[in-house]
Amino acid sequence: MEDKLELLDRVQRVPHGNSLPEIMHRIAQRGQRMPKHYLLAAATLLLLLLSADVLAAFKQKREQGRKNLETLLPMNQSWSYDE
Amino acid sequence: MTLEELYHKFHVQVYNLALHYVQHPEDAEEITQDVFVKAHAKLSTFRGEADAGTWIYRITINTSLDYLRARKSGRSAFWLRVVSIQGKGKDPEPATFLHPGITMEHKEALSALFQAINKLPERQRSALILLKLEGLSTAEVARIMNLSTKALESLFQRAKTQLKSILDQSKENE
Repeated sequence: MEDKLELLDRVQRVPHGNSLPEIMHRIAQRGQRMPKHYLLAAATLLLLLLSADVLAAFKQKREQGRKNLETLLPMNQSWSYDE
Repeated sequence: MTLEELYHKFHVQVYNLALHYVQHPEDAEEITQDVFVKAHAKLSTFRGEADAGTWIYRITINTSLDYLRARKSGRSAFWLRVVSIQGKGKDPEPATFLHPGITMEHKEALSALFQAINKLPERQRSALILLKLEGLSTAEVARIMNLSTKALESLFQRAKTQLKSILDQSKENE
C-alpha cells in the first residue's frame, strides 16, 4: 500500500494560466444582477400582501353572511332541522 | 489583501487542488474561477484570523465537494432515466483520469488509484489529497480541516485502510 501512496508523492503541480480577467468579468456581471435574497424578500412581501387581502375579503364575506343570517333568524330563537 | 494579490499567490494551488478532487481540467478551471468569485464576495469578512492560505484552501475544498455532489446527483438522475427506458443499468465508473502532472509510465497505475480515491468518504478523501497530493504538513491540514493533529492522523489511517480495501476489491473484480 505504501508504494502505491508513494506514487501520489510523484504527482507534479500542473501549471495554470491567468484566468483573472474572466473572474473580474464574472464579478462585474454578478454586481449587475439583483441579489437573490432581495428577490426572495420582494416575493415574500408580495405574497404577504396578497394573503392579507384575501384574508380581509374572506372575513368581510363571513361577517356579511353572519349579519344576513341574523336578520333571517333572531339570535334567541333556536331551531333544528327536525322542526 | 486584494483579490489580485490573493489570485497571484494561490491560483496554481487552487487549480491543482480542484483538479485532484474533480479530476477534470475544464471543471477544475471552472471551480478555480468560482473560488475567487466567492473569495471576492467574502473578502470584506475575512479578518485574517486564519491565514489566507487556510481560508482559500477551505473555500476550494467546499466548492469542489459541492461540485462533485451536484455532478453525482445529476448523473444519478440521468442513469435513472436510462434504467427506466432500458430496464437495466448500472452507475458507470467515472471516466479514466490521466493526471497531467505525472510521467507516462505511472499514468495507468495512478489512474486506478484516483478511481479508488473517488470512492473514499469526503473527509478521508480530503485528508489523503491534502497530505499526499498537496504535500501539506499535518499541522496545516489539521488547521484547514478544523481537526486536532491526532484526529487527522487517525482519519488518514482510516483513509489508507479503506483505500487498500477498495483497491483489493477492484482487483478481485477484474
